[in-house]
Amino acid sequence: MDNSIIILIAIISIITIYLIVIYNRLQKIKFEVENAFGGMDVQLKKRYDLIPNLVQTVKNYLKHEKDLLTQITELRTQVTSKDLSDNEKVKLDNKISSTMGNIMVAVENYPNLKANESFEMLQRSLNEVESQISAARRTFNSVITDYNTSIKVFPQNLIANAMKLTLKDVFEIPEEQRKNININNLFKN
Amino acid sequence: MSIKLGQGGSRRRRSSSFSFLFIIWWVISFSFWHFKEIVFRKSAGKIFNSKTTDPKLFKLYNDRLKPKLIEVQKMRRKAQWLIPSFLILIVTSIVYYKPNLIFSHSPFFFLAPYAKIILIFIFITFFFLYCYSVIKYYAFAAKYKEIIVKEIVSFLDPTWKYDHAKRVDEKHIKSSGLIKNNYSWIQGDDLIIGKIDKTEFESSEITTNSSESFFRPMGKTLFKCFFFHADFNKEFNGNTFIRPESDGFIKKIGDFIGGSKKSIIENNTIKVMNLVKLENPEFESFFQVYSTDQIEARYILTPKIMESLVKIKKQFKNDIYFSFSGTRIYMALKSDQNLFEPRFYGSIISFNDIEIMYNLFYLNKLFIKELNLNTRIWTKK
Repeated sequence: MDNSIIILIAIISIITIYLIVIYNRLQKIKFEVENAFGGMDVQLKKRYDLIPNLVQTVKNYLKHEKDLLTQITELRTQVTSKDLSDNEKVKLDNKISSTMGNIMVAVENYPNLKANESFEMLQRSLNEVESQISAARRTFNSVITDYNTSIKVFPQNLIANAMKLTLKDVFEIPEEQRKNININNLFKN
Repeated sequence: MSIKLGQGGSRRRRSSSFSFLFIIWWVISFSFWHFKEIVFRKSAGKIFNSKTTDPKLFKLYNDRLKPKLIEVQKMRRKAQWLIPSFLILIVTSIVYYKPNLIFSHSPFFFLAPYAKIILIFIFITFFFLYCYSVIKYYAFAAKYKEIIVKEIVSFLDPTWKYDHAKRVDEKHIKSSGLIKNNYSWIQGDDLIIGKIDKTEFESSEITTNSSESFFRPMGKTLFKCFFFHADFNKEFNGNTFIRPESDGFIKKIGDFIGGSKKSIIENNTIKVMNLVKLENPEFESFFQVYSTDQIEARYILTPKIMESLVKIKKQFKNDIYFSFSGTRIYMALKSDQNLFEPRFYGSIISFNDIEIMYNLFYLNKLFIKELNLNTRIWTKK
């Protein structure tokens, strides 16, 4: 066989292998993104499950803040009943976060409630879920950053275009959630 | 027949000279090992970049520790033959193989026919003297720990229990996954068991050694560290490891080839761990994180905890490792020498030494404080 044909075959096989490697890598990253979003969803669902408990525990105390409780129950129904797009989901979740924050602020005025054992347990669960959500969001952001970089660098961007992979947004953390938790206030009885 | 006898005789002679050589080699290695442990020690203060001081500590030193130190230091005199007897052992073994060095060109030439017997006698005598000195040094060290170190520990917290002869249980070392499993024996001392608020902890020194061989009759030290473990304030199921970022070109290449996966063996099953990339660049410049669960790793390593770990790391020159497994946090601060031993030469009546020891024990408090382990606002109480 002619030497040039051997060289040609070698070059073609190298390019093919290279393309397969890149394709697999991009597929893997795409899968990781879906996985990370799923991970976040799991934690958000845990929070939805806690909402009825929260409403039940505080409703006898928070007489003047009935609106807040109705609002959060409605938000929960919206987010769990309908099939929402990712963006809508994110918007609703941000609303839930801020309403929950407002409820917790309101609780400050009811020392009896804060001393209640089942409320303390509930608050622990909420803190747990919030920490898990924030961890899941950070994971999501880190995976998205990785994904966005991978589909933008040359020559991977060529294959990414062919695979119709587009840039994805990282999670914006709402301003009120960036504030540090004031631990002293949490368990002041 | 006679030829056979002759061969057997020479074989016997050869094997007896071999076992003699082995005994000498063993004695020298044994002596050298202890000599290295006792005499060639750097100050434990070298592991610190910065130290904390308590003004009350100086008062404690002046009022209570100084008189005791003077008393304890007297015990060290009994170990004073340690260095001379070691040197004599070395010289005797050299002269044994080259007796002409001394016996031909000296006033002792008339002793030349008995040279070997005399040398063996000297060797045995000084070996016993050396052993006696080593024993006396360890007795002195034990006394020092019982009186001085114990007092420093109770100055930090009177409720802590200190035992200079014990170490952290091996099951904790195994479940930490921080120390490689390739050791054949493990030793350690200076165990502290205590509780700060809601968090119980243990710490001690740990050394792992390889098995003995002909060339290393005392084994080889594999890993030496200050080991700490405490109850963690959050619940988790996986394993997360934090190890120092590789420095040096070769290690970096090793990491590059090794890729972003690592594995650990736990309860005879292999768990695959992935590299976790975190968003704090300073943290990332000091540490590498591997975990079985990406979300859980971030649940443990909140931005605040990352900052604290960076702060802790900056206090030390030595490598520091962390792991989270079961319900606990584990930490190993690598060291090159024993940390709580009294010095062999120079005065032990030194505030600096006391301060270093105080700082080492203060680590227990520092970790719990910096990592906010007493903040129990999550489901785990």
